[in-house]
Amino acid sequence: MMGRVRLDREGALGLVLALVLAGGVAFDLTTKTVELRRPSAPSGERFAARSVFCPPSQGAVAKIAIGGDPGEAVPVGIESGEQPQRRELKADALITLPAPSQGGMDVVGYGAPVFASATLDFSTPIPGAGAALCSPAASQTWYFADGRTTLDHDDRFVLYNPFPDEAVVRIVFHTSAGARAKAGLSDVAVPAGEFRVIAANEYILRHAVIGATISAQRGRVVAWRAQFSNPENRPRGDVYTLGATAPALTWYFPDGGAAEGVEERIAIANPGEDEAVVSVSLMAADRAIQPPELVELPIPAGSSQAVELPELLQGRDARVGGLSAVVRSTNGVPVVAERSMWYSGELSGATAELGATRPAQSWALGPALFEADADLVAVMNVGDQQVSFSITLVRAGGAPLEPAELQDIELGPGGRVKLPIGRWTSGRPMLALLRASGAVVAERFAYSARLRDAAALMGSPLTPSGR
Amino acid sequence: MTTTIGTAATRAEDELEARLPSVLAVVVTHRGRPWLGRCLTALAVQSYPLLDVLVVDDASPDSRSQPALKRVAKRHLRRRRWGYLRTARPLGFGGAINWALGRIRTDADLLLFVHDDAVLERDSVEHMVARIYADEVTAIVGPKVVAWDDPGRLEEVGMAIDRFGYPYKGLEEGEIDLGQHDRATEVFYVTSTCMLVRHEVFKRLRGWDARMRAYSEDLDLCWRARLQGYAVKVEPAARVRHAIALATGERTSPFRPARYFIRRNRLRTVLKNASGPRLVALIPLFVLLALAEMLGFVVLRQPREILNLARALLWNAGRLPQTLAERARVQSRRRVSDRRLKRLMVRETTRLRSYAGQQAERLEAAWGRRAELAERRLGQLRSLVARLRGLAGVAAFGALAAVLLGLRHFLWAPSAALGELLPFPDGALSLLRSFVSPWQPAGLGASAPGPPAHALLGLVSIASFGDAGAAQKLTVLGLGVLALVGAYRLVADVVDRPARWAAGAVYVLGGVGYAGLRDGRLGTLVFGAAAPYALTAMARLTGWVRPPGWSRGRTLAVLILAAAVSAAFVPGSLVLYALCAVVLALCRRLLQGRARGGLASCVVALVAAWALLLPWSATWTSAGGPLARLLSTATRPSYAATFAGEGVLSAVLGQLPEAPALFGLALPVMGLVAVLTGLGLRRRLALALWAIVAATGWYVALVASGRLPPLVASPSEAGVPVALAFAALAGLAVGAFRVDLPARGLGWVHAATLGALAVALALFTAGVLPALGRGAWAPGRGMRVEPAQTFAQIASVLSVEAAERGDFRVLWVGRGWRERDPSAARPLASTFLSGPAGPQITDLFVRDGGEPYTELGRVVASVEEGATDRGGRLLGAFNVAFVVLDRADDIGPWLDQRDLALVRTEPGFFILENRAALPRAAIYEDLPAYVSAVARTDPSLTSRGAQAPVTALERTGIRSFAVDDGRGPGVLFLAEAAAPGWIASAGDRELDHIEGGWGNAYLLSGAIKGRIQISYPRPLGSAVVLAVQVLAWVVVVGAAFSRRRKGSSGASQSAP
Repeated sequence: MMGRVRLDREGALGLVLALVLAGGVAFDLTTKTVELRRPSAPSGERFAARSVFCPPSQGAVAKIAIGGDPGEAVPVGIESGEQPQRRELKADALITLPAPSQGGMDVVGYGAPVFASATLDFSTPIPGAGAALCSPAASQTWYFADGRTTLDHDDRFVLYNPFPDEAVVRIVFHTSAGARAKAGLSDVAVPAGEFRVIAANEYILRHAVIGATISAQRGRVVAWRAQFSNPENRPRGDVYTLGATAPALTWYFPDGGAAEGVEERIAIANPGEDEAVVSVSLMAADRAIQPPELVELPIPAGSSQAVELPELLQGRDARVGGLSAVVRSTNGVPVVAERSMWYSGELSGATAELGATRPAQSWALGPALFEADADLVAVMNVGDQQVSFSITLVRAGGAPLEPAELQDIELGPGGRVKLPIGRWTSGRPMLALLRASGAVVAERFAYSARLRDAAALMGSPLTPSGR
Repeated sequence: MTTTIGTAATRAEDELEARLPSVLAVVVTHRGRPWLGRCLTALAVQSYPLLDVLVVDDASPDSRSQPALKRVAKRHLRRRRWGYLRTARPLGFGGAINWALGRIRTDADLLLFVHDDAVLERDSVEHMVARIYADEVTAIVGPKVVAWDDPGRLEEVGMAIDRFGYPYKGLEEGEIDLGQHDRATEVFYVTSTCMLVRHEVFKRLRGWDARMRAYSEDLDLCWRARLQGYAVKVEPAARVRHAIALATGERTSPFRPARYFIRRNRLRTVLKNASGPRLVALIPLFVLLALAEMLGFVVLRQPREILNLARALLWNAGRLPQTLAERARVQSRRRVSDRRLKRLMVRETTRLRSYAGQQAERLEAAWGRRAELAERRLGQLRSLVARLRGLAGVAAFGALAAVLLGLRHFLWAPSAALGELLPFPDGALSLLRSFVSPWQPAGLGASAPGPPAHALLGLVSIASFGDAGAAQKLTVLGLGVLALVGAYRLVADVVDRPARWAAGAVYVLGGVGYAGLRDGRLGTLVFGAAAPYALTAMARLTGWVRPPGWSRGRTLAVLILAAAVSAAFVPGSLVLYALCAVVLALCRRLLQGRARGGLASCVVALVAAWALLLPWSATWTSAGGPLARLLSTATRPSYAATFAGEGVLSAVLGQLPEAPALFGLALPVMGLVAVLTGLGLRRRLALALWAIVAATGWYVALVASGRLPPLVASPSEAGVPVALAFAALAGLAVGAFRVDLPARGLGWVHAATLGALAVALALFTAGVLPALGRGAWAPGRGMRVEPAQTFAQIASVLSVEAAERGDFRVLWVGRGWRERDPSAARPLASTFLSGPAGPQITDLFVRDGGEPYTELGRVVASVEEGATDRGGRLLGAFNVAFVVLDRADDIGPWLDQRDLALVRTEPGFFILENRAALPRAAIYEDLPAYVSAVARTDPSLTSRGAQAPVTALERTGIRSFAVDDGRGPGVLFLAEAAAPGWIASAGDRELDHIEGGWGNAYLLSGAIKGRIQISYPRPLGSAVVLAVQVLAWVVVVGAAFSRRRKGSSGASQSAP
């Protein structure tokens, strides 16, 4: 009797267990589980202190312009040499100061980011002017797409190591025939906190188009490229360009042109190991121009190819005036694109600038020259919606200027405009802050009659949260 | 009932009375009727005339039997004035006398205290009275005590003690009385066997210490008399025969066990009577002595003695206030220093020699038993070797080969550094030092009790002679062996040997070891090793299985020990154990209608396990505690997310914890065989084990869905009960196949069982063999980088730096270092701190709560969010000298830090050196700017160059730093989390604490020169707590490993 009862209880328990297990399986299959979340960062104020690294003067007359968040005063540290200085960047103001004759300058924004750009007036080896962004970061790799090592060009890489450890870099050139590595440039030491200038002409000669990849084997550096050119068939001029830290799929060039006395070329380097296929689209003020040769342009791995626009544009396209360009990789292989300009008409000189890799709604445009006779801002609308934008001019002393002519300017989809701002800057260094209702890309251009050279400076996109 | 002393007397007696002091003999009796008659007769016939007798019956239980004690007294004391009193309950010898003297009025000049089993010779009282009045200072006199049945053999001629209060007779065992001690000598004390005391002195001493009940109260009385300047003497002309009825076991005392009362009262006596300076010196020695005794008892396997000792210590601890009050009263009347009493005391060595001599026989007997046991074990070993020569030998060799094959990537590799399975520190005692230290240096440091896990692992470290690599492997292998034996024993009472081996093998090869080792989950491995013992104990307590001779106390101790060991690594395991206990009790009640009390025992044991881990266990839910991490709203979802995809289904499929897939599928098949084929207890037990699988699976499912909090950090920890249940089910299945199947009639059950077992065997083989071939039982198998190799590489770099720079911290950045986490034993963050040797096992259970960690977290967040490129200087304030980056992670912002030098680039990692790191402890001209920058959230302070210290202090211990040639003025900054316990001093002068941000800063004002040190002293309370903690562990271990009582009345059950 008891055995019977016990058996029944066992059976009942077994049945209950089976139901519980079945219910559990059903629960498993029908219930959502907690999703993985990384622990949130601790709240509270952050220790905001970022440096931007400005290039050395290298015997030029170099000036630095420092700007910050609109409406916010920022303590700024100027670190050059042994003794760091403290300056107060007032709200909506600009600090301009000469760069030290020796070494470079690190600008530290405490509490908020700052941005800075440099202009350089060279008297040697070839008189001219250049402008370059101060770099907000150091990197292990830097890329350049255009350059020349022909006899009438002097091509130099300026490497700065702001870190406390020595950096060792390798420079690989990208020629039209492919990559070229030189034994003398396989391990270039850049001492901690110092600059090193590498003259490309000493290592590779007679290349009309030459890009470069600078990769740090150890440490991190900041790299600029200085070009001094005095060709027979083109005007003399100097350019100074901050490199790109990574190749990208799209490059935007707001400025450019095809007109009498204006030559433009776009060099595209492919530092990767796969062939890239790119398209180059041109936009005039009122229409798009697409030369068929530029629809599918193969860029072999390791090479740098130049697109000479005067050779491609025919007819009225050759005199269209201002042109913007967009370089896109169509097969997913990232590239580096750089635009060079020569002016031999009313203006004279040369400029070169790597493109912008992303559009933004706000841009800071430092002065391209400190004493400019012509000062312009080129803006291109890369979106498919009409945008309106306004430009505020921030100066070293006094309130910022907001000229009515520079407010609420409409720009159609794919459109471009090049606005002269010289009548307000009047040859004084001013920071142009551009705000748009949509995604645009902006660039600044300046010309100095005294130096007989032009300079271009790509804008710095401002983060939405910061500015 | 009280009887008043009679008043009849003759005139002649009155005259005599006028010249002699009167004596009141007080005889205390308890169960002493066999001897009382002769005792009273001897008193009645004393030659001393003025002797009255008071018989105090200390609540003898046999007093109502015939003839009554009162009648015995009346019959033997006819010649004397006498009285009889009886206490309502046993008060002990001293207590009964105090009580009796409070109930009568007596003008006796002397009090004679006599045991009821002592017989005085006719002139003894006369001699003793003469001796006590021979001088003014003698207040207590004792006789020569001889054996009851052999009066020529000496028992006592006065007693001495050593400084711990241990008595010393000064007699050989069985020494013959040849008059060699017949000198009226002063002694430290005489026993209460027979003791003559001046009544006036007795009253001044406030009588006996009634709280002592029994034993050592005579020492206390004499010691107190001595402190007041009185002498204690022995009168050898007075002889007393003593039956020593208690010691010889001829009667029992209500105050048992005797050794407990002896130890207890001896300690109380010393606490009351020893001088202050001596007491201060004695306390630590006493604790050490107690621990040594305990260890001795562990060796001799005498757990009761350990218990007695522990009880004695706890009794005194509980009554310390009252004892101190008594002490104050005693010491206030002290007239004699301890130095003057020293001549009456003996050295410990003298007493020890005597003790050793007396105990030789006992030790011989004990060691004889050991030798017998060893001989038996040797015989078993021989028998095992003989058995291993056949098929079993091949199987054993195969098993060993399989273990070596499966573990080859672990056994022949550098120390693993994954999850909780971290390298051991160098030095055999490092972990124990960490455990006993009141300051835990891991992370940024914290004032917290040492995790018991450190102590447990410290024992492994000692066993491996401090070899860090061997310690880790020894730990894992040892846990594997423990798990095997545990699973074997879990089913040992219900199945035969092959089935037990099957359970052991399935458990060891199953998910606990597989997932635990691969994911570096030391907690899972420990929990898994301890769980079989806990489950066995719970099964016994809830009445499932009770083998012959089982002991509830021992089983409880085993459960406490197993649960405490588990919880030392996985605190939430206590909840899982409770769940298992509930399931077992419930199933037992459902199937057999019993076992409510067993559940209560289990719960009590689990609470005791928690208490055994105190004070650490009290901090589980405080900031940075292991349970606080699991339950915090900020981190709980991260832990719960690791349970995603787990639940009842994964439990039923044998994948909780993760095991080789096919192997896991074999488990439910075996489980079904156990239920369907098993009979009787085996089937019922199988159902209960399935219930454990279901309950655990449901818990995991509810955690995964976010409906229940994760009390353990991962599914592998939660899955330990499931894996164990399946192992037991596998054992039951094999047992059912071997025992139950032949008992069944031939039918479908045979076919189904054979088929299922064949499938299970095939799945088992197909699952395990490839895994063994791959060497899958290795930490980090299948991970992107080999953690052991990578960590060894990094550690070698850092060790070179440590040799040059001394102590520093290392910040590890990236999820690669914490892959297959999270763990409750380590912070749940993308970064963590370690010492110069990299993450070590001492970093487990680091407490990362509080303001210092918030500050550090903000610095790290500032770097990772790109807000700053001055991270090196900010981290420098925390003594972070190196940052190790996992290259696979988003480490770009770290490479932007201008003050961190990239000193090592490897395919898997970067090492950044922070040259702005402040030393751990150093003297500066002013508080370093970096510290101020962190404290004030003012990054501009980091614009200054690195502030070089004037002098760096060297680490002199786990919680002390010092420099011999320090100079002031300046500021001493210690980069340890701010805590008021740190004390800095220059020479003898204590330095003033000043605001030091997250750390500790002290002002060196004025021209200071010389030794400057900073240390974190151990609070006295912490030392006491530590001693009690060790004591508790020794008691539990002793109880758990005590021998089974032969012929115990425990119920037994066996499978039909």
